[in-house]
Amino acid sequence: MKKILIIEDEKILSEMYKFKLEKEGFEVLNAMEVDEAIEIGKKNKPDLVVLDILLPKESGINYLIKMKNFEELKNVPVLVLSNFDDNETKNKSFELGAKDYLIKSNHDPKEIVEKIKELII
Amino acid sequence: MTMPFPVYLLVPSAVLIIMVGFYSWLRVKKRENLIFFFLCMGQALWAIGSFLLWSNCGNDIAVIFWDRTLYFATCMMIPLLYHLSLEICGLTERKQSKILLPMAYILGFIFAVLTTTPYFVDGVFYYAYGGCHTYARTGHHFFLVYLITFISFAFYNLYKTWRSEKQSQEKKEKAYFTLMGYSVFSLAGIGMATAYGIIFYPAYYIFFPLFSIIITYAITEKNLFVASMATDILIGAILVLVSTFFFFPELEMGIVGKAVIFVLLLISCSLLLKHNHQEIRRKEEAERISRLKTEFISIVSHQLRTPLAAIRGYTDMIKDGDYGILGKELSVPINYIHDASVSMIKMVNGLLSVTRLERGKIELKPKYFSIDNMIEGCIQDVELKAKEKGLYLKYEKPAEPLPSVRGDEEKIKHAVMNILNNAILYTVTGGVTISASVLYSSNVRIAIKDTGVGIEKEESEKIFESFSRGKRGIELQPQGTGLGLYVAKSFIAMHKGKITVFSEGKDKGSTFYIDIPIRADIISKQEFDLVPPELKK
Repeated sequence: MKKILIIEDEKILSEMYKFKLEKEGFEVLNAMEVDEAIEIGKKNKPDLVVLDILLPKESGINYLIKMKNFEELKNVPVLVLSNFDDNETKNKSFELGAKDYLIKSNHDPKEIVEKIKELII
Repeated sequence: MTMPFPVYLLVPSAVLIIMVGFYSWLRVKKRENLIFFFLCMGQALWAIGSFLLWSNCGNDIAVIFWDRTLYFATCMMIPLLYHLSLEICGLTERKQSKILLPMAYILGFIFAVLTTTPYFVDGVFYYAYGGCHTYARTGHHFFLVYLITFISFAFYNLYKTWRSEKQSQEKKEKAYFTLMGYSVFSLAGIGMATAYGIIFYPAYYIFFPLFSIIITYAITEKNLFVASMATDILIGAILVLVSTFFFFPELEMGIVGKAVIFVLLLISCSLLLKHNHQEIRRKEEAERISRLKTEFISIVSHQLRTPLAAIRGYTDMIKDGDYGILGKELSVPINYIHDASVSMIKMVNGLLSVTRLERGKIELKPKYFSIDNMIEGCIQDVELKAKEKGLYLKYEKPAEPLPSVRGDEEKIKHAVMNILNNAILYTVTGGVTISASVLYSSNVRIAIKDTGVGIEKEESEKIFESFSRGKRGIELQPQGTGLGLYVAKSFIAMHKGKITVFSEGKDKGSTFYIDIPIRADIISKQEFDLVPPELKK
């Protein structure tokens, strides 16, 4: 079973994506902020990370920087899923290796699942 | 014969007064500006009459003629002054005004006729300063009563408006400056005493141009006035001064003449300085407010997206049966909720594009692309929508293939799509025709012609402003943010192009022309000014 790590502090949204992904046969883990995500990620070795940008404590961008220090995480694809819609952040994310940058409100959960499937295969 | 210095100032004063009269009328087409224009003409006639009276001293017939002429001008000016005060205080519709105003004009006219007879002024006497004047007769006495009465009314109205709690700041300010102007004008009125043998050095002549300048300032857009006119006046005054010294070196100005000139220069300089500072402060304040506004909208939009994403996501999942099979009865409202959230998300996205435009955060990725392919792409995107409404959708291809254009295809397409979507949205019967052509070999013109509700002429500029929508459009489609055309215009403007609209009016359809330069020197990347602080580390 493929493992997805969702880094998202809005419970209402993380629950939503978790529900949909589990229904599609994924195992879903959730972290609320970057350091917690690194810890969970190191332990569980996810197949893909769904990353929010506006997180408590530090920006999601920092995950993209920090993950490079860990063997377990540095090759795990990251899908940025945020409502923060800013060209600078987008470019920075792609520069740091994010596979895609989607705006949460512009997509239904099933479209996100499709994207995740596309990225894992 | 040498005349006192202020008399020489009458000629440039007349020119200046005519200038400000035209300036004020051409700048602002309001009734008060028209009244002021006539007032200026009266003053100019008065100033020229006074100058000719002085220069004809010795020739009694000429003196009487010119004195009567300048009294004629004064009779014209009194009702105009009263009328102007009513306009500025917004009192023209009052009952009393409806009686007093015609009365002021009728009496003014009667006195004006009277000035041509010996019953107003007659006979000439001579006095020091090399001056001469006529004697006041019966008509003159009555005229003084008339003048004082109506000028007092004007003062009273202006004072009340200035001190009123209920009036807007703008109106109060206008009344205040007009009051100042009228006070200056009244000071010039001491010249009337000459007819009774009370003689002053004619320094009061300077008050007429001063009055005109102050009133122009009060009733013209102030920032415009200071920026252009005050500078002109100042330079003009200095030129007059310098050339007077140059061409009339023997001229004795006297201490009063010098003082008057000095005060005049001082006043215009300080006005200019004060308003330059005010202008700078106002600009800063406006910029600050506009920045706050865009930041506010941007934050709100981000905050709105989270709950909207939840509504959209959960309803979509319910709709798809992820939470169990959905009964037919429930699936309809759930679909509505989902669609509503999607349309709200689109509105929020629209708001965000606008705030980004205003902050200059849109990035263009220019490359060469085919306009032809882009238009076909647009048509594909809206084909279904047009079909559902039973509208035709035609693309009239140009005979010659279009050259490729350098620009950001996504942004130009966005602009075309916004207009195309509107065309379909606001058309009930008929359809939409798109055509493209090369214009003056330097531009590509895309024309989108619909048979829809049309746009009223006075709206054709306004609809491109943010949050602005056409009247007919609102009737047909109450929802909408009024941002589509603003975004389209801005995207095209970033490519140094422009959008224009032509409509014959209500229900006559409209045609939008999008002109894009084939090779525009567009800004490929604009400065970012709002990077989240954590990214700057």
